[in-house]
Amino acid sequence: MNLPRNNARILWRLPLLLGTALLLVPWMHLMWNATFGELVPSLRFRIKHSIAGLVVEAGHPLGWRDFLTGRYQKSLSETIGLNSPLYKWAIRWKAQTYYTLLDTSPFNNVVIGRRRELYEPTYTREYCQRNVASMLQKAEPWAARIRQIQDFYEARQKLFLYVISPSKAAAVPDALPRGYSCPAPEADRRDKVSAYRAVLQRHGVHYIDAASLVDNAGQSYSAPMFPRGGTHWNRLGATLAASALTEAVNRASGQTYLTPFSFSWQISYDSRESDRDLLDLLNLPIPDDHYPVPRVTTRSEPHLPCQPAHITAVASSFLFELAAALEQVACPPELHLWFYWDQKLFVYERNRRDQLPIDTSERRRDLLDWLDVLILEENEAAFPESSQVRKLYDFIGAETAAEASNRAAAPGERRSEETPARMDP
Amino acid sequence: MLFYEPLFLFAFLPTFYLAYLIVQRRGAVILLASVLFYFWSEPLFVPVVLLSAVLDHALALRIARAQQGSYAARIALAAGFVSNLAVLVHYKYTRFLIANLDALLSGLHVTPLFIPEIALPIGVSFIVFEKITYLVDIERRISRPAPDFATYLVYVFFFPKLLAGPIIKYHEMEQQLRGMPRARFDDFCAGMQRFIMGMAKKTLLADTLATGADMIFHDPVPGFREAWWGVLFFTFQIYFDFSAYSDMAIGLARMLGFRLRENFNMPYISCSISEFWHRWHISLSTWIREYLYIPLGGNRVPVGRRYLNLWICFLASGFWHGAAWTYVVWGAYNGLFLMLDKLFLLRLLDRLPRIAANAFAFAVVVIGWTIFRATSLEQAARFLEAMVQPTLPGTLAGVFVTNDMKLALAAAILICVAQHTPACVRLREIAVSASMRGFAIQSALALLFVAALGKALADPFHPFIYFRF
Repeated sequence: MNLPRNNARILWRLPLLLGTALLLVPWMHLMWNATFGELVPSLRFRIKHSIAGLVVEAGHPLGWRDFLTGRYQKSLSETIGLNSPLYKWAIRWKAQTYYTLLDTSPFNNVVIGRRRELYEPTYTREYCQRNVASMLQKAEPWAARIRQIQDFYEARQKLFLYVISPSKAAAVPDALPRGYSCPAPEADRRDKVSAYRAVLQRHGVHYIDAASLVDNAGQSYSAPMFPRGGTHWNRLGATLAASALTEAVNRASGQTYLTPFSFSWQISYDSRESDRDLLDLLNLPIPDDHYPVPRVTTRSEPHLPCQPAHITAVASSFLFELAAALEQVACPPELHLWFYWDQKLFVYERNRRDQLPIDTSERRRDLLDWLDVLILEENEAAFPESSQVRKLYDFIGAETAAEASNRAAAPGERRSEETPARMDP
Repeated sequence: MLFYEPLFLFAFLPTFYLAYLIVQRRGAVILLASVLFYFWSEPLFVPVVLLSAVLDHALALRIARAQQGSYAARIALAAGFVSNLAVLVHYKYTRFLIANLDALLSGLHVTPLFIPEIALPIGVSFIVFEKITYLVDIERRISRPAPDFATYLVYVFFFPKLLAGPIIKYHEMEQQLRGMPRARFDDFCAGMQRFIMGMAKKTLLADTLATGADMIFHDPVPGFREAWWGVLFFTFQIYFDFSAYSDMAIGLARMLGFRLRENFNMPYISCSISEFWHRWHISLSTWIREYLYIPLGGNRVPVGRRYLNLWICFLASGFWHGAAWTYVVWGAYNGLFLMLDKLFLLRLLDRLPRIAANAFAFAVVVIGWTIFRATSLEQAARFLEAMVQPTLPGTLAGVFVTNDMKLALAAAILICVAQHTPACVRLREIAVSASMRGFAIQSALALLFVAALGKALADPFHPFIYFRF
């Protein structure tokens, strides 16, 4: 059927014109904000960023150099897109379409496995390219360094524990996506942690293999140790590690530094925070968040007077759940977590978690004076190469050198012990 | 500034188009917008182009004044040719030439030469080739010099075709530049439709295929399966990416009332390499023919010399694509098959069923693209080896061909195959008809635009897991 001729020119092209009008909405928004919005800020249309995973840099680099190198142009174009009224809609509906219709991750830093199990590609790639022989070559000097760190602390009558946290890809390998290339031999994938443990034992390192602990417990507890929508262990897995940590600390110290506890758990379908950190990143308008997450209840006898242990941790994000588990017991420890050594400081005290900026003098104090226990954590996907271990080792090395230099100085020239020999770089 | 970027779509294009519709001096609006468009991307290169254009314009006037074929005309043309080529060589090939010279000198224990990094301006290859056509067209008396310098600058900087072609020869645009057409409603609609098709091809298909191709070509030693996936992804990525850009350029120009030549004509249905090069990057192959092959003698020279010229032209074409040996070998490879076509292959392929000839030509093209895409000749060899060893496993962890890539590949193949079928031709006719079916197709196009725009906005987003801290 043909449309009436006098209406034909415009009417039959109406869909196209409406589609084109889609460009005018963000254009008008931009023009308004760039003109009237600049003159009268209260008239600006503001877009609320509720996109998970979005990191907005403050301001544009604005200098001639930035313009000549293209940095300014790239930054401005990104900002225009980010502040467009269409942006949130675009992210969410791309995500939902990919997730629901294509069973594919919309973003390259989340992998969707079988049963919609979510992984970070860093962990899946590491798992699938494991090579124990190559790892062992690096593991020997690495374990020696960790032993040196241990010796440094034990010489100061501080406790030291090296914690190996688990990788979800290694813990739940059967859910890796069909067709995901995994060329590493099965023996290498399975035996990496046990081979590394043998090296640690040979070097006399005090460690907790939370990776194997969680792996074995998964079968006996018949509950998942990792949430479907998250990359970190869940509270049950972390509680098991916290329990092992508590026993190890108390055994090593010969006293009750950390309050012993027991725990029970039950399945809930209310995923929160790290239970859904990867799922949240997908930004699905209809989130697929109905999956089991263990809810843990701890029981402990408060011992009086309560003198919380001081724990300094140099660790990755796997310490969050472990610290949260420790905070549930009576007389919880005070824990200062130096996140990847120099990214953030998280302070767990009086049942609160505060996030503070890095202060190198505070870090030195935490690492040398304040602490009772030093926890050094490394994920099984990261050893033997993680930056936080290397940086702690360098710090210890600098301190040791400074102490040696102090001892070598003549008595009259000996520096005050209050003065640090060398500041952290 | 790329055509699917927010800055272009939400700021530059609506503002420019509004000005173009309102302001009487359309040429001035196009020129200002085009120079600004290019200055935004290449602030340091714009003055170079302007100076070069001043020289071109002066030389063009000299050529026009001199007698055709005279010494003065030829000297002026040569000066223009050399000055333009010098710009291209400086920015695109200096480092490549020096690196290869150093490789030779190192064998003689001579200290290697050092040159600082030279940033490659986007679109330089297209700009230089177009400027050469201006001088040659005038010398051949196909065109007259531009009425003024501003008109010539509009030709040089015309933003729809500036970054990635098509390569518009001056004589193809001369009349339109003189007339400076008005943008009519039908031009806007036809242009927008074309632009939407281009955006959809680019963001929905080409970018998805690119993710797959890049992932696999990152693997130094692919397996059989990975090699084939990677090569197929790239084969369709390059077509949809390049033709999409041409669609967007042609669409934008049409929105302004300009008609640019087509650049692609269903190349993957070709039944020979000769036919392929009549359908692929048509503006380049016609440029090569008119401005290189014919001056080398064309078909007027003896057969042997003719084939050699053909091969040289494709060698140059390969080199034009990039400063690396892979491009040179790719050009030589294509030149070889063109020679073989002339010798016997075309006659042989003509005797085969069309589908068999098409399959053969496609296979030759795919092998060529493998060389083209590889980061080195060594990688190209490894990929080609892997493609003929069905039991060869992959070695890189994390290679994962996802459903969106598979869907994009399937869609790409279907589009390439279906394009020339009567049903598809009929669909194109219905799309521009004032009927209910035309309305339905327009609605589908609008939805396609929404999807393409959404993906263009969403694709640069890479969520950071620790964003809460």
